Amino acid sequence: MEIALDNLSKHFGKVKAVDEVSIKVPDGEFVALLGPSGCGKTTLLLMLAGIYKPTTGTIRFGEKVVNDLLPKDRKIGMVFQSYALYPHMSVYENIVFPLRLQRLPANVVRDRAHKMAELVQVQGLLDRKPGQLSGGQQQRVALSRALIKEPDLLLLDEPLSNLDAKLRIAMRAEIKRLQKDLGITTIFVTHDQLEAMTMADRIALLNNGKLVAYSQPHDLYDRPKTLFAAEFIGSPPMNFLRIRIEEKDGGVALAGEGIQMPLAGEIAQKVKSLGGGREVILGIRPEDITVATDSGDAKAEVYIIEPLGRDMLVDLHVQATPVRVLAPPTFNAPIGASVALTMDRTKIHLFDPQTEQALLN
Amino acid sequence: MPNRLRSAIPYVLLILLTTPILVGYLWLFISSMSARTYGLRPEGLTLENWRFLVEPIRSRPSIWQVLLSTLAFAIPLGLLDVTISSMAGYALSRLRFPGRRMFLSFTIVLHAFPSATLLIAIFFVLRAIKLYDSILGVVLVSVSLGLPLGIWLMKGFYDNVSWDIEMAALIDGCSRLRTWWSVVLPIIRPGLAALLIFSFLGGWGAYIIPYTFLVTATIQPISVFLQSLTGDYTFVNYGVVTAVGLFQLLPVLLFYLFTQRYLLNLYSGGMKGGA
Repeated sequence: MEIALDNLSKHFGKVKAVDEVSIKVPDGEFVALLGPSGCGKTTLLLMLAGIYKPTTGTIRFGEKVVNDLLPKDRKIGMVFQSYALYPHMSVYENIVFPLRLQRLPANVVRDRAHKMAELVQVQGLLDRKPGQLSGGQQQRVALSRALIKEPDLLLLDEPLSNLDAKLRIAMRAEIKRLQKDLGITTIFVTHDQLEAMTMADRIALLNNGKLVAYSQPHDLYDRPKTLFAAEFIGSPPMNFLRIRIEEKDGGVALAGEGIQMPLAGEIAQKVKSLGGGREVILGIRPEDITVATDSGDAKAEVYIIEPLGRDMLVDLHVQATPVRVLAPPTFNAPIGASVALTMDRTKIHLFDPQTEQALLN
Repeated sequence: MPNRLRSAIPYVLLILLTTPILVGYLWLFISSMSARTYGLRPEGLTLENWRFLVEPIRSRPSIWQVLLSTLAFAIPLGLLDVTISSMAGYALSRLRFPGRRMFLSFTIVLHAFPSATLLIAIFFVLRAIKLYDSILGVVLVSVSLGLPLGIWLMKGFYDNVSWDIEMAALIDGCSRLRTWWSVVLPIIRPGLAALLIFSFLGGWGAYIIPYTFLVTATIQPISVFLQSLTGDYTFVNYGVVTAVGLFQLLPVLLFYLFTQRYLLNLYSGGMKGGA
């Protein structure tokens, strides 16, 4: 089912928890609401669930405006961060609870429960109480309870954040697969950009209740439209350097403290059009910088090296500005060594320091 | 062994503190079984004091009639108290409505209010609504006086139930009422049980209210009956008094033995309340 939010706002007193958000979620897509804590993503989810009533704006499920529809009439399933299983009911009773409320015939309930239990692999746990399950098992039960009534919309509120790291990666793939198999329109809330990147078809990035970006993960990663998006997406995060656009002898270069980065070709034209002498913020991801011993765009000093196995995460200082670089595992320079950094010209981002908007795309 | 000595200290203290109480119980038991006592030393072991079980004491109603009246008072008291407290507690914990804060503060104030000062006023009210000298009347009065504590305790239990569970139930297809009944109430069942027991035992031992508002001997509960044995102008037979006292006490002790697990909930889980 297609979901459309139109200028949706939720105010709590003077606080604008959600501020004029408009999003369209195509049928069957998996959308992540991403943002730091307190950005309004959970409030938005609870409005979709019908727990909160929007202050202004509309929520449409398909063609229908559902603003005033009670949660029970919305045909949605939801998984909570705490799982919110009913502690006094067995796993089986938890799973069939939504069907019991629909007064479906006993054999239908039983069949669907067993099919569901098989799908999320909790067949052996049906007689247990939630308190006797591990976090991962509780999550599977919560998921099957949300899915058993075959909802039009599945809502997931930080579903993975209570799991340990290994299980989280496994469940990430499993939930994504399940969503694709069932084709249920799904909206999930997370503060973990990696989770959003790996699982979602589209990411809605929120900050202070406002929608900052809404696009596909690779688009958000490759062409962030604001400084906030560039900062928030990616791990280790993007590096930012204060620089000035310099025009010299017809050529153009980015210059800053310890940085002298001549440009050529298409990118040079683009930068030139921004105006010489202008102060901007240069953004570049750790994987788009190479470290060499001879010469490059910037001189840097090795601060510390963190081996990640597949790569080396090298923390450097360009004058006083910290810069992180992903180097090949063969990289070995002692702490304090002077090195030179070369930046991939096709991967640089420029931002206006005042408006924080991207200048190049 | 200084370590063993140290761990023994709490026991020694507890034993010292409970000895007077235990001696009291012991005397009660001995006295009810003997014609007379010299301190804890009985003289003339007899079951004569327990005759009240089979035959009424002088002109008084039979003990079984008294027991029935006591139950007719304590059981409705417990049930009503739990029913109303569980509903009011939910509203105060979960719903927003004008006057909520004031209601909460009032609950605390009323709980601390000495109920004895209200006796005369209550008398006039009961007489006006024609419930003076009726069990229903004392039940209503006792429930009202018990509600502040009950509501506050229930609110504390509800406060500990996560919102997520309630939201999950709403999304799964419950109405608000159904959510309360099928999901939230079962979760706070230990609290309900504790309040029920607490309130029932309060009714079982209640004295001032029934003594003041019940004058017909056949509907008076056991505590008033017990008092009547000592309040006579005739010679007080302490053997009988202790026997009746023990008769009143035994069910309570047994009750505590089997339900203290629930009662402890009142003190551990229930007091996390707050406005």
